[in-house]
Amino acid sequence: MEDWKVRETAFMGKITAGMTHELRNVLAVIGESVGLVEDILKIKHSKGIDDRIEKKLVIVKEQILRGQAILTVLNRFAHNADHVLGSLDVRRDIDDMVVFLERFLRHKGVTCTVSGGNSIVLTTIPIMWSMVHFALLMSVGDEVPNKGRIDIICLKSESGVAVTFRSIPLPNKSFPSVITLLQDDIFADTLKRLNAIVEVGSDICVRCKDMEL
Amino acid sequence: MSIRGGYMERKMCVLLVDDEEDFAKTLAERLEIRGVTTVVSFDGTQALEVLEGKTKVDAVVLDVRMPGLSGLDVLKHIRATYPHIPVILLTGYGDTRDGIDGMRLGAFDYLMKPLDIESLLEKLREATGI
Repeated sequence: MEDWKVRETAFMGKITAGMTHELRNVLAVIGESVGLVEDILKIKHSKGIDDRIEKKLVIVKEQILRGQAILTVLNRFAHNADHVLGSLDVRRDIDDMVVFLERFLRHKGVTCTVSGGNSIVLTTIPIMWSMVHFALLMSVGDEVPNKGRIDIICLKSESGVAVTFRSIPLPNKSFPSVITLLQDDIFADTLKRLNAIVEVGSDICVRCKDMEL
Repeated sequence: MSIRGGYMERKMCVLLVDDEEDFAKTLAERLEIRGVTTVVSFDGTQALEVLEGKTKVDAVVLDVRMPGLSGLDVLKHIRATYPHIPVILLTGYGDTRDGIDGMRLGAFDYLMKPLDIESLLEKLREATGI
């Protein structure tokens, strides 16, 4: 990447990571405050808290946990911009991309499963790696029939990693939006920089080489 | 002090250090409800002043990320000066690296925010034996 682009990406990452930390604190304050309200209500109403209030307190606590989980993913993603070349747990990164796309996939009633090694670490350009897999997952998500499923399989190979996206059931056409993506010059250049190739068949498979090997 | 089963029981005194004031104050109130005396500091320097003072602190609950003296800096100081006082670190959810670094420096344990107050109490009892 050009110098200014590297700095711009690192800047965005730094700000995002910092803000996720602040938002975690916001959720922690809300969490403790809800806990205190619960404590006080329990002391004042020894026979039990009103059901409606208790249910709402449970919802607030559940939403805090949901917010924390989203912030964790966002924080990790932001740190991908820390180094141009670095170690990336590709399995976890795929899990994170699925979280980012969940809203879009849910709209189509599409679910997503990820399988393969629990932790596959690759030396790569983390931010570019995430961009490529996000774009591919978006494109496969476009093609998978409503209420279908995307199975993602991450496997370590001798020279790096192979990530397969499988649409269940198979789409009517053979992934036209993925083919359009592959014809895009910038996307093609990104693949080249990552030492990666994309194979389109009944599945989509990205093979990416470890840049340290 | 309270008397239970004929024995005099001393209330545990915890120093809670977190720059997030509302978080620290609210957590302190919740601990007080559960019978724990809590002294609150909003930064590392203030926390070290409390330890130098007359208050007998049984354990420290310490946020890792704070402006000025970081939690890990405060931990190093406590380990060197008050090795008998156990320290429980608070880290952001997902920041396990901070917790592990803290354990290497001698922290008793670490917990992630958002906290489960019962887990914190359990850790405090385990750490202090009170």
